[in-house]
Amino acid sequence: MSDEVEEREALCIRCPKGCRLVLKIGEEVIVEGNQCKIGEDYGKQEGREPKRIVPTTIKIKDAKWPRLPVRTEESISLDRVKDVMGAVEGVVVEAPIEKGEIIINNVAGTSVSIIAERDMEKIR
Amino acid sequence: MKDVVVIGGGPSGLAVSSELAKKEYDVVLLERNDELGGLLQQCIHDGFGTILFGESMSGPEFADIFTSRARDEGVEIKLEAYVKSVKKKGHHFNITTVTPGGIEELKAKSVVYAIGCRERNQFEIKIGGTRPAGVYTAGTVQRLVNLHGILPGKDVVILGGGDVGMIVARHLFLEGINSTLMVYPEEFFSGLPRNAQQCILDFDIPYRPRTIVRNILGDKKVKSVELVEVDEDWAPIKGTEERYSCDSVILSVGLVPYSEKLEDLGGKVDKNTSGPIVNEYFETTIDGVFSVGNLIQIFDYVDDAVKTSFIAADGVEKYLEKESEKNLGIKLKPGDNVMTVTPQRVDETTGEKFSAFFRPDIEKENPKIEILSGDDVLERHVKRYVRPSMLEEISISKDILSGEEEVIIDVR
Repeated sequence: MSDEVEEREALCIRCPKGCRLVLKIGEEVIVEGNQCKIGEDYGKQEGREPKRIVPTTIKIKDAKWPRLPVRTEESISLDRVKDVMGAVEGVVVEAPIEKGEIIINNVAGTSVSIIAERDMEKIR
Repeated sequence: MKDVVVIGGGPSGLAVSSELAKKEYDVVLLERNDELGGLLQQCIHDGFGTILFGESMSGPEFADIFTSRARDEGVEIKLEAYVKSVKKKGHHFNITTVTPGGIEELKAKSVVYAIGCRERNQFEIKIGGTRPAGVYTAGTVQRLVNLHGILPGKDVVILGGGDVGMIVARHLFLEGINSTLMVYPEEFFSGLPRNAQQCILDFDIPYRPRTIVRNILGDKKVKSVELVEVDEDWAPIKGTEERYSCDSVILSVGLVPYSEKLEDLGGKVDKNTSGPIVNEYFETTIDGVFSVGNLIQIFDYVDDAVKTSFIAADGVEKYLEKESEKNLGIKLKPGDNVMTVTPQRVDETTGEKFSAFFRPDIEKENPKIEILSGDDVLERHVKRYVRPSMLEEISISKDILSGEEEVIIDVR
Protein backbone atom coordinates (compact mmCIF):
# COMPACT_ATOMS: atom_id res chain seq x y z
CA MET A 1 0.00 0.00 0.00
CA SER A 2 2.82 2.39 0.78
CA ASP A 3 4.68 1.33 -2.34
CA GLU A 4 2.76 3.81 -4.42
CA VAL A 5 4.90 6.83 -5.19
CA GLU A 6 3.41 9.86 -6.86
CA GLU A 7 5.93 11.88 -8.79
CA ARG A 8 5.46 15.53 -9.61
CA GLU A 9 7.44 18.64 -10.39
CA ALA A 10 7.57 21.86 -8.39
CA LEU A 11 9.44 25.13 -8.67
CA CYS A 12 11.21 26.08 -5.46
CA ILE A 13 10.03 29.59 -4.52
CA ARG A 14 12.39 30.10 -1.60
CA CYS A 15 15.15 31.97 -3.45
CA PRO A 16 15.72 33.63 -6.83
CA LYS A 17 17.47 30.57 -8.19
CA GLY A 18 14.11 28.85 -8.66
CA CYS A 19 15.28 25.22 -8.74
CA ARG A 20 13.00 22.82 -10.59
CA LEU A 21 12.26 20.12 -8.05
CA VAL A 22 11.06 16.58 -8.58
CA LEU A 23 8.97 15.38 -5.64
CA LYS A 24 8.55 11.64 -5.07
CA ILE A 25 5.64 11.42 -2.71
CA GLY A 26 5.14 8.13 -0.92
CA GLU A 27 5.26 7.41 2.79
CA GLU A 28 8.06 9.95 2.79
CA VAL A 29 8.65 12.82 0.43
CA ILE A 30 11.90 12.52 -1.51
CA VAL A 31 13.11 15.76 -3.07
CA GLU A 32 15.37 15.82 -6.11
CA GLY A 33 16.70 18.74 -8.13
CA ASN A 34 17.20 20.94 -5.07
CA GLN A 35 20.64 22.38 -4.41
CA CYS A 36 20.33 23.21 -0.74
CA LYS A 37 18.68 22.25 2.53
CA ILE A 38 16.11 25.04 2.25
CA GLY A 39 14.99 23.58 -1.06
CA GLU A 40 14.66 20.15 0.52
CA ASP A 41 12.47 21.51 3.33
CA TYR A 42 10.38 23.46 0.88
CA GLY A 43 9.96 20.38 -1.32
CA LYS A 44 8.89 18.23 1.64
CA GLN A 45 6.23 20.75 2.74
CA GLU A 46 5.20 21.16 -0.89
CA GLY A 47 4.91 17.37 -1.29
CA ARG A 48 2.95 16.84 1.91
CA GLU A 49 0.75 19.89 1.91
CA PRO A 50 1.45 22.93 -0.28
CA LYS A 51 0.36 26.10 1.51
CA ARG A 52 -0.41 29.58 0.20
CA ILE A 53 -1.70 32.98 1.32
CA VAL A 54 -4.98 33.75 -0.49
CA PRO A 55 -5.53 37.40 -1.45
CA THR A 56 -8.85 38.59 -2.85
CA THR A 57 -11.37 41.42 -2.54
CA ILE A 58 -14.85 41.73 -1.02
CA LYS A 59 -17.65 44.23 -1.49
CA ILE A 60 -17.59 47.26 0.82
CA LYS A 61 -20.30 49.91 1.27
CA ASP A 62 -19.87 53.65 1.93
CA ALA A 63 -16.15 53.57 1.10
CA LYS A 64 -13.86 55.28 -1.38
CA TRP A 65 -13.64 52.13 -3.47
CA PRO A 66 -16.33 49.47 -4.05
CA ARG A 67 -13.89 46.66 -3.09
CA LEU A 68 -11.85 46.01 0.04
CA PRO A 69 -8.64 43.98 -0.37
CA VAL A 70 -8.51 41.06 2.09
CA ARG A 71 -6.33 38.00 2.60
CA THR A 72 -5.95 34.92 4.75
CA GLU A 73 -3.98 35.86 7.86
CA GLU A 74 -1.82 32.72 7.55
CA SER A 75 -1.12 30.47 4.62
CA ILE A 76 -3.67 27.74 4.03
CA SER A 77 -3.60 24.43 2.25
CA LEU A 78 -3.51 24.95 -1.53
CA ASP A 79 -6.39 22.54 -2.10
CA ARG A 80 -8.63 24.66 0.15
CA VAL A 81 -8.12 27.86 -1.90
CA LYS A 82 -11.32 27.35 -3.91
CA ASP A 83 -13.33 26.74 -0.70
CA VAL A 84 -11.98 29.94 0.80
CA MET A 85 -12.84 31.88 -2.36
CA GLY A 86 -16.36 30.40 -2.17
CA ALA A 87 -16.76 31.38 1.48
CA VAL A 88 -15.64 34.94 0.79
CA GLU A 89 -17.90 35.43 -2.23
CA GLY A 90 -20.96 37.50 -1.49
CA VAL A 91 -19.63 38.86 1.82
CA VAL A 92 -20.40 42.57 2.17
CA VAL A 93 -18.92 44.89 4.81
CA GLU A 94 -19.53 48.53 5.65
CA ALA A 95 -16.88 51.22 6.05
CA PRO A 96 -15.08 52.18 8.20
CA ILE A 97 -12.72 49.21 8.25
CA GLU A 98 -9.28 49.14 9.82
CA LYS A 99 -6.23 47.40 8.45
CA GLY A 100 -5.82 43.98 10.09
CA GLU A 101 -9.48 43.81 11.15
CA ILE A 102 -10.88 40.27 11.07
CA ILE A 103 -13.56 40.02 8.39
CA ILE A 104 -14.30 36.26 8.64
CA ASN A 105 -13.25 33.97 11.48
CA ASN A 106 -12.19 30.42 10.71
CA VAL A 107 -12.87 30.78 7.01
CA ALA A 108 -14.24 27.59 5.39
CA GLY A 109 -13.23 25.63 8.46
CA THR A 110 -9.51 26.21 7.90
CA SER A 111 -9.09 27.78 11.39
CA VAL A 112 -7.50 30.77 9.61
CA SER A 113 -9.11 34.23 9.50
CA ILE A 114 -9.69 36.58 6.61
CA ILE A 115 -8.29 40.03 7.44
CA ALA A 116 -8.52 43.49 5.83
CA GLU A 117 -5.35 44.60 4.03
CA ARG A 118 -5.96 48.34 4.45
CA ASP A 119 -7.93 51.05 6.20
CA MET A 120 -11.08 52.12 4.42
CA GLU A 121 -12.69 55.31 5.66
CA LYS A 122 -16.41 55.93 5.68
CA ILE A 123 -17.46 58.25 2.88
CA ARG A 124 -20.92 59.77 2.66
CA MET B 1 11.24 78.34 -0.13
CA LYS B 2 10.97 74.61 0.55
CA ASP B 3 14.07 72.48 0.94
CA VAL B 4 12.74 69.61 -1.16
CA VAL B 5 9.72 68.91 -3.34
CA VAL B 6 9.07 65.21 -3.93
CA ILE B 7 6.89 64.38 -6.94
CA GLY B 8 4.94 61.12 -6.60
CA GLY B 9 3.35 59.52 -3.51
CA GLY B 10 4.07 55.87 -4.23
CA PRO B 11 6.34 53.77 -1.99
CA SER B 12 9.59 55.38 -3.20
CA GLY B 13 8.27 58.95 -2.94
CA LEU B 14 6.88 58.27 0.53
CA ALA B 15 10.17 56.72 1.66
CA VAL B 16 12.39 59.53 0.39
CA SER B 17 10.16 62.26 1.82
CA SER B 18 10.03 60.57 5.25
CA GLU B 19 13.82 60.15 5.32
CA LEU B 20 14.32 63.82 4.43
CA ALA B 21 11.75 65.01 6.97
CA LYS B 22 13.56 62.89 9.56
CA LYS B 23 16.73 64.82 8.68
CA GLU B 24 14.63 67.93 9.55
CA TYR B 25 14.29 69.34 6.06
CA ASP B 26 11.13 71.14 4.98
CA VAL B 27 9.60 68.58 2.57
CA VAL B 28 6.50 68.77 0.38
CA LEU B 29 5.15 65.60 -1.24
CA LEU B 30 2.98 66.07 -4.32
CA GLU B 31 0.62 63.28 -5.43
CA ARG B 32 -1.71 63.60 -8.40
CA ASN B 33 -4.09 60.89 -7.14
CA ASP B 34 -6.41 61.36 -4.16
CA GLU B 35 -4.69 58.69 -2.06
CA LEU B 36 -1.12 57.67 -1.30
CA GLY B 37 0.59 54.34 -1.97
CA GLY B 38 0.68 54.45 -5.75
CA LEU B 39 0.69 51.17 -7.58
CA LEU B 40 0.76 49.17 -4.33
CA GLN B 41 -2.91 49.88 -3.58
CA GLN B 42 -3.85 47.54 -6.43
CA CYS B 43 -1.20 44.89 -5.65
CA ILE B 44 -3.26 42.94 -3.13
CA HIS B 45 -1.13 39.77 -3.33
CA ASP B 46 1.57 39.01 -0.78
CA GLY B 47 5.34 38.91 -1.24
CA PHE B 48 6.26 42.53 -0.44
CA GLY B 49 8.69 43.42 2.33
CA THR B 50 10.73 40.22 2.47
CA ILE B 51 14.03 42.09 1.99
CA LEU B 52 13.38 45.18 4.16
CA PHE B 53 11.23 43.70 6.91
CA GLY B 54 11.81 39.93 6.72
CA GLU B 55 8.11 39.23 6.34
CA SER B 56 5.80 38.80 3.41
CA MET B 57 2.98 41.35 3.26
CA SER B 58 0.48 42.64 0.71
CA GLY B 59 0.93 45.84 -1.33
CA PRO B 60 -1.51 47.97 0.71
CA GLU B 61 0.11 46.73 3.95
CA PHE B 62 3.59 47.63 2.69
CA ALA B 63 2.37 51.05 1.48
CA ASP B 64 0.75 51.73 4.85
CA ILE B 65 4.12 51.47 6.63
CA PHE B 66 5.56 54.27 4.50
CA THR B 67 2.38 56.37 4.49
CA SER B 68 2.42 56.30 8.30
CA ARG B 69 6.13 57.16 8.36
CA ALA B 70 5.59 60.18 6.10
CA ARG B 71 2.74 61.43 8.30
CA ASP B 72 4.69 60.78 11.54
CA GLU B 73 7.78 62.58 10.26
CA GLY B 74 5.70 65.64 9.36
CA VAL B 75 5.95 65.59 5.58
CA GLU B 76 3.61 68.19 4.06
CA ILE B 77 1.41 66.05 1.80
CA LYS B 78 -0.61 67.54 -1.05
CA LEU B 79 -3.06 65.16 -2.73
CA GLU B 80 -4.71 65.77 -6.11
CA ALA B 81 -1.76 67.97 -7.02
CA TYR B 82 -0.69 67.42 -10.62
CA VAL B 83 2.71 68.85 -11.50
CA LYS B 84 2.34 70.83 -14.70
CA SER B 85 5.90 72.07 -14.94
CA VAL B 86 9.23 72.27 -13.14
CA LYS B 87 11.60 75.08 -14.13
CA LYS B 88 15.11 75.75 -12.94
CA LYS B 89 15.78 79.35 -11.90
CA GLY B 90 19.40 79.81 -10.89
CA HIS B 91 19.89 77.69 -7.77
CA HIS B 92 16.23 76.90 -7.13
CA PHE B 93 13.21 75.39 -8.86
CA ASN B 94 9.75 76.77 -9.63
CA ILE B 95 7.11 74.06 -9.53
CA THR B 96 3.65 74.71 -10.98
CA THR B 97 0.87 72.39 -9.82
CA VAL B 98 -2.76 72.06 -10.81
CA THR B 99 -5.02 71.28 -7.83
CA PRO B 100 -8.78 71.30 -7.20
CA GLY B 101 -8.23 74.73 -5.62
CA GLY B 102 -6.56 76.11 -8.74
CA ILE B 103 -2.99 76.61 -9.87
CA GLU B 104 -0.38 76.68 -7.11
CA GLU B 105 3.26 77.69 -7.36
CA LEU B 106 6.01 76.29 -5.17
CA LYS B 107 9.67 77.15 -4.83
CA ALA B 108 12.22 74.57 -3.73
CA LYS B 109 15.98 74.16 -3.42
CA SER B 110 15.86 70.59 -4.77
CA VAL B 111 13.42 68.23 -6.48
CA VAL B 112 13.05 64.44 -6.23
CA TYR B 113 11.17 62.69 -9.04
CA ALA B 114 9.41 59.54 -7.83
CA ILE B 115 7.01 59.14 -10.73
CA GLY B 116 7.63 55.46 -11.42
CA CYS B 117 6.98 53.71 -14.69
CA ARG B 118 4.24 53.03 -17.21
CA GLU B 119 3.14 49.88 -19.01
CA ARG B 120 4.10 49.21 -22.61
CA ASN B 121 1.00 49.19 -24.79
CA GLN B 122 -0.28 47.41 -27.91
CA PHE B 123 1.05 50.10 -30.22
CA GLU B 124 4.61 49.51 -29.04
CA ILE B 125 4.64 45.79 -29.83
CA LYS B 126 3.15 45.76 -33.31
CA ILE B 127 0.02 43.66 -32.97
CA GLY B 128 -2.09 43.65 -36.10
CA GLY B 129 -5.79 43.26 -36.74
CA THR B 130 -8.77 45.51 -36.10
CA ARG B 131 -9.07 47.92 -33.17
CA PRO B 132 -11.91 46.48 -31.07
CA ALA B 133 -12.73 47.26 -27.42
CA GLY B 134 -11.53 44.71 -24.90
CA VAL B 135 -7.76 45.16 -25.08
CA TYR B 136 -6.18 46.04 -21.73
CA THR B 137 -2.79 46.33 -20.13
CA ALA B 138 -2.29 43.99 -17.15
CA GLY B 139 -2.00 46.85 -14.66
CA THR B 140 -5.31 48.32 -15.82
CA VAL B 141 -7.00 44.96 -15.28
CA GLN B 142 -5.44 44.68 -11.84
CA ARG B 143 -6.87 48.08 -10.96
CA LEU B 144 -10.31 47.27 -12.40
CA VAL B 145 -10.55 43.95 -10.57
CA ASN B 146 -9.00 44.87 -7.22
CA LEU B 147 -10.30 48.40 -6.67
CA HIS B 148 -13.46 48.60 -8.77
CA GLY B 149 -14.56 44.95 -8.71
CA ILE B 150 -14.96 44.84 -12.50
CA LEU B 151 -13.81 41.82 -14.53
CA PRO B 152 -12.48 42.55 -18.04
CA GLY B 153 -14.33 39.67 -19.69
CA LYS B 154 -15.12 35.97 -19.47
CA ASP B 155 -12.65 34.44 -21.89
CA VAL B 156 -9.27 36.03 -21.61
CA VAL B 157 -5.99 35.74 -23.52
CA ILE B 158 -2.94 37.15 -21.75
CA LEU B 159 0.05 38.04 -23.91
CA GLY B 160 3.37 38.06 -22.06
CA GLY B 161 4.77 35.83 -19.32
CA GLY B 162 5.82 38.64 -16.99
CA ASP B 163 5.03 39.00 -13.31
CA VAL B 164 2.03 41.32 -13.61
CA GLY B 165 0.45 39.05 -16.23
CA MET B 166 0.91 35.96 -14.07
CA ILE B 167 -0.51 37.67 -10.98
CA VAL B 168 -3.50 38.93 -12.94
CA ALA B 169 -4.07 35.44 -14.41
CA ARG B 170 -4.34 34.03 -10.87
CA HIS B 171 -6.76 36.75 -9.76
CA LEU B 172 -9.00 36.20 -12.76
CA PHE B 173 -8.91 32.44 -12.30
CA LEU B 174 -9.82 32.75 -8.61
CA GLU B 175 -12.59 35.21 -9.46
CA GLY B 176 -14.05 32.42 -11.55
CA ILE B 177 -13.87 33.63 -15.14
CA ASN B 178 -14.63 31.09 -17.85
CA SER B 179 -11.23 30.59 -19.49
CA THR B 180 -7.72 31.98 -19.37
CA LEU B 181 -4.83 31.32 -21.74
CA MET B 182 -1.38 32.81 -21.34
CA VAL B 183 0.96 32.99 -24.33
CA TYR B 184 4.50 34.35 -24.52
CA PRO B 185 7.41 34.21 -27.01
CA GLU B 186 10.09 33.04 -24.56
CA GLU B 187 10.74 29.39 -23.77
CA PHE B 188 9.81 29.93 -20.14
CA PHE B 189 7.89 32.60 -18.21
CA SER B 190 9.94 35.80 -18.19
CA GLY B 191 8.81 36.73 -14.67
CA LEU B 192 10.05 35.36 -11.37
CA PRO B 193 9.93 31.56 -10.95
CA ARG B 194 8.03 31.96 -7.68
CA ASN B 195 5.20 33.66 -9.57
CA ALA B 196 5.19 30.97 -12.25
CA GLN B 197 4.72 28.42 -9.48
CA GLN B 198 2.20 30.14 -7.24
CA CYS B 199 0.15 31.89 -9.95
CA ILE B 200 0.14 29.60 -12.98
CA LEU B 201 1.30 26.07 -12.11
CA ASP B 202 -0.62 25.96 -8.79
CA PHE B 203 -3.93 26.31 -10.61
CA ASP B 204 -3.12 24.56 -13.90
CA ILE B 205 -3.80 27.74 -15.84
CA PRO B 206 -3.11 26.91 -19.52
CA TYR B 207 -0.04 28.54 -21.08
CA ARG B 208 1.81 28.28 -24.36
CA PRO B 209 5.49 29.21 -24.61
CA ARG B 210 6.94 30.33 -27.97
CA THR B 211 3.55 31.68 -29.00
CA ILE B 212 2.40 35.23 -29.68
CA VAL B 213 -0.80 37.08 -30.53
CA ARG B 214 -0.30 38.26 -34.11
CA ASN B 215 -3.72 39.76 -34.73
CA ILE B 216 -6.58 40.91 -32.54
CA LEU B 217 -9.91 40.50 -34.33
CA GLY B 218 -13.48 41.76 -33.84
CA ASP B 219 -15.73 44.58 -34.99
CA LYS B 220 -16.70 46.50 -31.89
CA LYS B 221 -15.60 44.03 -29.22
CA VAL B 222 -12.78 41.47 -29.29
CA LYS B 223 -14.07 38.20 -30.82
CA SER B 224 -10.86 36.27 -31.31
CA VAL B 225 -7.11 36.45 -31.69
CA GLU B 226 -4.79 34.90 -34.22
CA LEU B 227 -2.11 32.97 -32.36
CA VAL B 228 1.09 31.91 -34.04
CA GLU B 229 4.06 29.90 -32.81
CA VAL B 230 7.48 31.53 -32.96
CA ASP B 231 11.04 30.25 -33.21
CA GLU B 232 13.96 31.07 -30.93
CA ASP B 233 14.33 34.48 -32.58
CA TRP B 234 10.62 35.15 -32.02
CA ALA B 235 9.97 34.88 -35.80
CA PRO B 236 6.49 33.43 -36.61
CA ILE B 237 6.50 29.85 -37.93
CA LYS B 238 4.36 29.51 -41.07
CA GLY B 239 1.49 27.06 -40.89
CA THR B 240 1.07 27.33 -37.09
CA GLU B 241 -1.55 30.11 -37.23
CA GLU B 242 -4.62 29.41 -35.11
CA ARG B 243 -7.86 31.34 -34.59
CA TYR B 244 -8.67 31.37 -30.86
CA SER B 245 -11.98 32.71 -29.51
CA CYS B 246 -11.90 35.18 -26.61
CA ASP B 247 -13.58 38.39 -25.50
CA SER B 248 -10.59 40.22 -24.07
CA VAL B 249 -6.84 40.49 -24.51
CA ILE B 250 -4.54 41.48 -21.67
CA LEU B 251 -1.03 42.70 -22.45
CA SER B 252 1.73 42.07 -19.94
CA VAL B 253 4.60 43.19 -22.12
CA GLY B 254 6.86 45.16 -19.86
CA LEU B 255 7.23 48.40 -17.95
CA VAL B 256 9.11 51.55 -18.97
CA PRO B 257 10.44 54.27 -16.63
CA TYR B 258 8.37 57.41 -17.03
CA SER B 259 11.30 59.69 -17.80
CA GLU B 260 9.70 62.10 -20.31
CA LYS B 261 9.07 64.71 -17.59
CA LEU B 262 12.73 64.73 -16.60
CA GLU B 263 13.76 65.03 -20.23
CA ASP B 264 11.58 68.15 -20.50
CA LEU B 265 13.70 69.66 -17.73
CA GLY B 266 16.88 68.73 -19.60
CA GLY B 267 17.77 65.47 -17.85
CA LYS B 268 19.67 62.89 -19.90
CA VAL B 269 18.28 59.37 -20.34
CA ASP B 270 20.12 56.02 -20.55
CA LYS B 271 18.92 54.07 -23.61
CA ASN B 272 19.53 50.75 -21.82
CA THR B 273 17.35 51.44 -18.77
CA SER B 274 15.09 54.11 -20.38
CA GLY B 275 15.50 55.89 -17.03
CA PRO B 276 17.53 59.01 -16.27
CA ILE B 277 21.32 58.87 -16.05
CA VAL B 278 22.11 59.07 -12.34
CA ASN B 279 25.09 59.01 -10.01
CA GLU B 280 25.41 56.74 -6.98
CA TYR B 281 23.11 59.06 -4.98
CA PHE B 282 20.56 58.92 -7.80
CA GLU B 283 21.13 62.55 -8.68
CA THR B 284 20.29 63.12 -12.35
CA THR B 285 22.42 65.09 -14.81
CA ILE B 286 20.66 68.26 -13.54
CA ASP B 287 22.12 69.72 -10.31
CA GLY B 288 19.73 69.30 -7.40
CA VAL B 289 17.32 66.98 -9.25
CA PHE B 290 17.15 63.39 -8.01
CA SER B 291 15.15 60.34 -9.06
CA VAL B 292 14.10 57.29 -7.04
CA GLY B 293 12.32 53.95 -7.47
CA ASN B 294 11.05 52.53 -10.73
CA LEU B 295 11.79 55.77 -12.55
CA ILE B 296 15.49 54.83 -12.42
CA GLN B 297 14.92 51.35 -13.82
CA ILE B 298 12.36 48.59 -13.34
CA PHE B 299 13.06 46.85 -10.02
CA ASP B 300 11.85 43.29 -9.40
CA TYR B 301 11.06 44.00 -5.76
CA VAL B 302 9.49 47.10 -4.24
CA ASP B 303 11.99 46.63 -1.39
CA ASP B 304 14.86 47.35 -3.80
CA ALA B 305 13.04 50.32 -5.32
CA VAL B 306 12.57 51.80 -1.84
CA LYS B 307 16.25 51.27 -1.00
CA THR B 308 17.09 53.85 -3.70
CA SER B 309 15.04 56.36 -1.68
CA PHE B 310 17.22 55.87 1.41
CA ILE B 311 20.36 56.43 -0.67
CA ALA B 312 18.87 59.42 -2.53
CA ALA B 313 17.89 61.05 0.79
CA ASP B 314 21.60 61.08 1.73
CA GLY B 315 22.36 62.55 -1.69
CA VAL B 316 19.81 65.35 -1.24
CA GLU B 317 21.33 66.09 2.17
CA LYS B 318 24.81 66.35 0.64
CA TYR B 319 23.46 68.63 -2.06
CA LEU B 320 21.64 70.90 0.38
CA GLU B 321 24.63 71.05 2.72
CA LYS B 322 26.87 71.70 -0.27
CA GLU B 323 29.20 69.07 1.12
CA SER B 324 30.25 68.02 -2.32
CA GLU B 325 30.50 69.92 -5.54
CA LYS B 326 28.83 68.12 -8.39
CA ASN B 327 31.25 65.64 -9.84
CA LEU B 328 29.90 63.46 -12.60
CA GLY B 329 33.03 61.39 -12.19
CA ILE B 330 33.52 57.96 -13.59
CA LYS B 331 31.25 56.33 -16.17
CA LEU B 332 29.80 52.91 -15.35
CA LYS B 333 28.64 50.84 -18.33
CA PRO B 334 27.16 47.40 -19.10
CA GLY B 335 29.68 44.99 -20.68
CA ASP B 336 29.45 41.34 -21.75
CA ASN B 337 26.22 39.57 -20.81
CA VAL B 338 24.82 42.64 -19.03
CA MET B 339 21.75 44.57 -20.19
CA THR B 340 21.68 47.54 -17.82
CA VAL B 341 23.79 49.14 -15.09
CA THR B 342 22.88 51.85 -12.59
CA PRO B 343 24.22 54.24 -11.47
CA GLN B 344 25.72 55.37 -14.77
CA ARG B 345 28.06 57.88 -13.05
CA VAL B 346 30.07 57.61 -9.84
CA ASP B 347 31.93 60.28 -7.89
CA GLU B 348 34.88 58.37 -6.45
CA THR B 349 35.99 61.26 -4.23
CA THR B 350 33.27 60.99 -1.55
CA GLY B 351 32.29 57.97 0.52
CA GLU B 352 33.77 54.48 0.58
CA LYS B 353 31.32 52.19 -1.15
CA PHE B 354 28.23 52.33 -3.32
CA SER B 355 25.57 49.93 -4.58
CA ALA B 356 25.45 49.11 -8.27
CA PHE B 357 22.47 47.35 -9.82
CA PHE B 358 22.78 45.36 -13.04
CA ARG B 359 20.48 43.14 -15.07
CA PRO B 360 22.22 40.08 -16.57
CA ASP B 361 21.54 39.04 -20.14
CA ILE B 362 22.14 35.31 -19.52
CA GLU B 363 21.13 32.61 -17.09
CA LYS B 364 24.20 31.20 -15.34
CA GLU B 365 25.24 29.27 -12.26
CA ASN B 366 28.15 30.59 -10.15
CA PRO B 367 29.03 33.39 -12.56
CA LYS B 368 31.91 35.79 -12.03
CA ILE B 369 30.94 39.44 -11.93
CA GLU B 370 33.92 41.50 -13.08
CA ILE B 371 34.48 45.23 -12.69
CA LEU B 372 36.78 46.09 -15.60
CA SER B 373 38.84 49.00 -16.82
CA GLY B 374 39.70 48.02 -20.39
CA ASP B 375 40.98 44.47 -19.95
CA ASP B 376 42.11 44.97 -16.34
CA VAL B 377 39.94 43.35 -13.71
CA LEU B 378 39.58 45.86 -10.85
CA GLU B 379 37.34 43.71 -8.66
CA ARG B 380 35.64 40.35 -8.92
CA HIS B 381 32.33 39.38 -7.28
CA VAL B 382 30.70 35.98 -7.09
CA LYS B 383 26.97 35.31 -7.34
CA ARG B 384 25.30 31.97 -6.84
CA TYR B 385 22.98 32.24 -9.81
CA VAL B 386 21.93 34.96 -12.23
CA ARG B 387 19.06 35.16 -14.70
CA PRO B 388 17.59 38.01 -16.77
CA SER B 389 14.42 38.13 -14.65
CA MET B 390 16.47 39.07 -11.56
CA LEU B 391 18.09 42.45 -11.07
CA GLU B 392 21.39 41.99 -9.19
CA GLU B 393 23.02 44.29 -6.64
CA ILE B 394 26.72 44.48 -5.81
CA SER B 395 28.61 46.71 -3.42
CA ILE B 396 31.67 48.30 -5.05
CA SER B 397 34.48 49.98 -3.12
CA LYS B 398 35.30 53.41 -4.48
CA ASP B 399 39.05 53.18 -3.97
CA ILE B 400 39.38 50.70 -6.85
CA LEU B 401 37.91 53.34 -9.18
CA SER B 402 40.38 56.15 -8.58
CA GLY B 403 42.11 57.32 -11.74
CA GLU B 404 39.65 55.55 -14.05
CA GLU B 405 37.44 57.25 -16.63
CA GLU B 406 35.16 54.43 -17.64
CA VAL B 407 34.44 51.16 -15.87
CA ILE B 408 32.54 48.17 -17.25
CA ILE B 409 30.58 45.39 -15.52
CA ASP B 410 30.79 41.95 -17.15
CA VAL B 411 29.15 38.64 -16.28
CA ARG B 412 31.27 35.60 -17.13
